[in-house]
Amino acid sequence: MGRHVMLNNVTHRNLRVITRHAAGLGDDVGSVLTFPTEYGDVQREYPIFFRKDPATGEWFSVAILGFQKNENLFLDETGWRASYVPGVIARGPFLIGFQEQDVGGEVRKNPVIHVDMDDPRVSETEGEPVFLPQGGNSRYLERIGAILEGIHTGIEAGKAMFAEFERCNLIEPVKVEVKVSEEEHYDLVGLYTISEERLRALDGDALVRLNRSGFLHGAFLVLSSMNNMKKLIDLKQNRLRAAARAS
Amino acid sequence: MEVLRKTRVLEGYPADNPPLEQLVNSARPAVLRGLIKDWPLVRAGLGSAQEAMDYLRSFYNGKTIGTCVGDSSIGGRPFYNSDFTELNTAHRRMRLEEVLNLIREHLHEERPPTFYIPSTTIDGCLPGFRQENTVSFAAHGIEPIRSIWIGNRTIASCHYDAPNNLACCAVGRRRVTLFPPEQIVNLYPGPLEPTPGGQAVSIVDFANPDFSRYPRFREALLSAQLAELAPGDAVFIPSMWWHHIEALSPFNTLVNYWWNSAPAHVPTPMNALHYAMWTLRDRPESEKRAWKAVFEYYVFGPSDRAGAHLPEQARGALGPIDDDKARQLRAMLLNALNR
Repeated sequence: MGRHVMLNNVTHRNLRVITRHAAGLGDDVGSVLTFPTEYGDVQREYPIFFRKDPATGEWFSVAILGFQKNENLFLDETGWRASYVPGVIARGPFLIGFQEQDVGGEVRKNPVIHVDMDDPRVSETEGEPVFLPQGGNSRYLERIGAILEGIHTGIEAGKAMFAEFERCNLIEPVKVEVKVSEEEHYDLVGLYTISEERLRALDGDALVRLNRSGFLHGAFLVLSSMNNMKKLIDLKQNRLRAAARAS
Repeated sequence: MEVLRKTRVLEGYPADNPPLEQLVNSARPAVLRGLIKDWPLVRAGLGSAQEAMDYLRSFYNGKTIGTCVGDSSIGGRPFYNSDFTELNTAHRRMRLEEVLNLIREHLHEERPPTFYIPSTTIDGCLPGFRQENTVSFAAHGIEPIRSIWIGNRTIASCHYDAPNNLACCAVGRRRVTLFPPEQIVNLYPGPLEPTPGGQAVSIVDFANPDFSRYPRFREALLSAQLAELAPGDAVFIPSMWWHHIEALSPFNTLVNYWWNSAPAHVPTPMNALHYAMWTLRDRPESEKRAWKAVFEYYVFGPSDRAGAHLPEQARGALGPIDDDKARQLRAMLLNALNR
């Protein structure tokens, strides 16, 4: 946990955020949380899997970026080479917080933006200004607001989606064994995906209900995202070849 | 402090037919004697505090309610600490029965700690209550905000609200001291925030006014009027009138109705006030005078004056502001303010 404080245009008048992507800026991660609300964009670049929180039993989705904990195969010295950067990365050092407000005696939870002041992307000299010169919201901040809102609705949508997937018994564990060369291979463990077989076998009411919930589409996006494993392996092999040439 | 003038009293109006147009058009306060005398809550309260508490609890849906809690030293007056940086009460979310039990525990004390539910939406915590205890607004095409105020002996320090207000004294006695809007200058309003109840309050202690520090308060008293309410009575407080409300009994409940004379697309003038303090107040005297004339012309004079000599299609914001024009103004201001 960093130093999370509520963003405001007085304390943070000079705040800037480094928006380029680099290993030292928290982008060297092998996987990243994703949400059904961004599956459409994510599945064009990254394989999507599910994981289960061992403590709470809650499901969540991840986009796979590499085969090791800190390996992001989309990251090189020029930045993040993909058409879409997942929201959890694109939000930078910002998080959603909730401020309780009493309206007519009832609590209303208003979403507010918090910033992690210990995040390496936080700066006063480099990057995108968060506020305009007179304290208005910059376009960058407005975009961050939209991304955070997307994450917020994505979390809720994810809960509903996993409830539907579980009800239809569509989630199955998957063993991902990646052989990038004769001597190098990786096992990705703890991953789950949609059972294609059971999805194909769904019929009648179950299929109608899943379709109406909007998550049938999500299930197919997860399946089609598997094609990106091939791209990931290619990226890894390019990297290994480049390393071999360099040595 | 003595206020001799009594608020005019209207008798004989029933809760299902309050004279709302007449009240609003008069723009003067009025006591409506016995307006809600037939409410079951009023009858329960005339039995005992306990009966009223039991009656209220019978509707309670279990949701916690924003409650103002203060120790006995504040004398029932939610206000500020000595340097006006903090409020002298804590805001807690409590269950209704907790609040009622605390009030009952201290019911017979001379100076009890303060337990006060200030204006909570009735339908939010007491569903069904309105079916038996209501003042009819529907016939007037008005959908008011309906709130309930529950507490022991409390003082709502003198303040104004933008909407019209019909405040109905259901349990306990209340004393309401009223001042016309223009008395603002003699009432020494406090900070705009924080505030004890959402609006800036007079910092004069009405129970013991310090005339050496607040000499103009004498002047305010000259135009003050007093509305004394027994259970079943109501008082009409016109938009912008200052009101100081003392709940006098060991247990008190008030139900009030707020309604706006402006349509929903017209936002609160408080925004204009904040903006005006920011953009106008600290300019040179000559500029301020000029702007005063400009405001007099466009805003405070006759509503149709600035557009009258222009063809209708050229009036823009100088003509009546409908929903479409309100949207355009909102977009323009949002854009103008984001600098």
